[in-house]
Amino acid sequence: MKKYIIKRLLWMIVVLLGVLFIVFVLLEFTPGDPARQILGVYADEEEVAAKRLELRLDDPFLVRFGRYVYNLVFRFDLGISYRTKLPVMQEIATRFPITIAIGVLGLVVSVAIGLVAGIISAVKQYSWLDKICNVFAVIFHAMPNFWLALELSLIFALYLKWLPPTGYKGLKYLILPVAALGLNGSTAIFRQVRSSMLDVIREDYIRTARAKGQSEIKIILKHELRNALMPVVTMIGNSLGAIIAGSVVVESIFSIPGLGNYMLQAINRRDYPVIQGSVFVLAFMICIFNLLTDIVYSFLDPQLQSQYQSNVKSKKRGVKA
Amino acid sequence: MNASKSGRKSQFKLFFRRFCRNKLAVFGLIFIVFIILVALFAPFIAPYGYDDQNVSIRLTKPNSEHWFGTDDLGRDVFSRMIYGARVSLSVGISTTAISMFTALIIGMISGYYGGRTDNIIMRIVDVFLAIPSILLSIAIAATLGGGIVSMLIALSMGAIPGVSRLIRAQVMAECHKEYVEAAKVTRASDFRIMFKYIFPNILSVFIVTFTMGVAGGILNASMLSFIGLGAQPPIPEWGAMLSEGRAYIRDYPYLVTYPGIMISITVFAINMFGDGLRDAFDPKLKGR
Repeated sequence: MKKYIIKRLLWMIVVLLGVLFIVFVLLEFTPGDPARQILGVYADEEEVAAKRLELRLDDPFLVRFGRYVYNLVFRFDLGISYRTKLPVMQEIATRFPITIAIGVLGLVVSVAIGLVAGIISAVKQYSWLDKICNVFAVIFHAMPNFWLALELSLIFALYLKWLPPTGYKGLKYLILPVAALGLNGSTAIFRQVRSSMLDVIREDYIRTARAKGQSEIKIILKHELRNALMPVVTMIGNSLGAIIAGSVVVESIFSIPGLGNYMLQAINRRDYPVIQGSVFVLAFMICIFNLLTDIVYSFLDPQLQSQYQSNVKSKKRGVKA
Repeated sequence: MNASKSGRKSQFKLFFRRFCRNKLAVFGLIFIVFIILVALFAPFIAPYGYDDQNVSIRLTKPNSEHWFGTDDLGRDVFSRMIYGARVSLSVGISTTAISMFTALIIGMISGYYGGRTDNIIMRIVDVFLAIPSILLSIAIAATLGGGIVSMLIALSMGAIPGVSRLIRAQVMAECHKEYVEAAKVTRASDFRIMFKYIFPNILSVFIVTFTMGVAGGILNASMLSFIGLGAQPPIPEWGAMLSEGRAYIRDYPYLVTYPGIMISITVFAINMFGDGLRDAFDPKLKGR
């Protein structure tokens, strides 16, 4: 098992390097001279040339990429924002926790809704409950999450005045954005839970359990759900990606000072180091989370476990022979 | 010859009958045809032009003359939504066409040749998949600087990795079948095997993925436009209309509600159509 986790960790480093490379290449294609962007339109040519020399912008592409990676890994440095002239890392660090909170809460909401609705739907297949769940799933699936966020704020903040419309001064302000992202994300989880539950329900061992006279609740939770969860766990990683990507827009709708909102402002101001840094940090977050789900999965999946254990055993045997 | 022709026809009939049994899918198909017709004949249907400004009637609520009201520049929202169907649909369809075509080539090569080629291609795909597709699209669109063309490139590039993965898996499954072996024995070229023999066998998956891709493309395009990286004013894309109406949401919520409903219904219809197609292609999957 340890070997599997190490393998995944090493692979994650490669993936992150790849992500950095993509983002760096993207920045290469952006119009405009970074030195000029930092100094502003009114700086004269000499100043710009001096800045270019200082930033060593005339080095070959790969050298600059290497330096970017070096600065990131050893100095936690993602460059300097064109606009505020502050280090990007510092600005990201203050906004990062809010986005994590939104992402995790959104995921919890979507998993909770998806799981409960999925189980009910599968256990009571073709009932009116199943139909209602399905209808809501397809409706929320078709709605753009930013529109759902706008409509929720219209209803609950502007009309009913139950919740604050914008800003961030505590958890209460996160309810609407989390609801919008969670409802939107729950549809995919719902579908997965329902379909894998339906697969499991038809298995022989469920009939055996029932024949043994086990209670229905025990059958659902212990026999069906446990086996149906496997594909759902892998799905959760994808869902978090979607939720975090969605939070980019939703944060801006509710004026929440998170990483997504920061990135969007940077996009409007063409502040490329910030865009680059934000995309990387968001991808980093998702990678870490995917790694965690993979590890959870490896503990849940006896096949994978035995595969690695038998590998170890056969190697030991090989040494003895 | 005749027998095979009638056989093909009855296959299609069976397929069509299976499809028609799913009422939501039929609704989806009808709505798609309807919205395509609306997009094609927009200038004849829309009562006003999409950029006819009349500041004296700005922000009038829905009435008999302006069914969906007017926006902050006095433009008719109903007409803009009709013209918006053109932009949203064509962006959705063309990004999916570009991404599916590219992904078909990548997935085909990767799945067919396998081994080292497959390994290299899939590791690159893995790296791209680490970034959620919409985030990748946002990053690319931000780099290219907004507008319809950059949105097209950004959305297609965002969708390629996921679809390549899917097509590769399908191709790999086909490669082990006997007809591919047989084709290899007849010394058919790789290209011929890939596109003449394997492709027809993964066509059903390709069509279903394409349909769902269009729905996703419309959603993502509306998101890019909403954050200002897609269609630029005065082009009436539904997401862009939402974005323009956002400032007036408190007093004129219809500016945000109608385009949103339009996006949702269209995406819903396409998804239902896709679901119906999948069930009709493969009855075993029904209800899943």
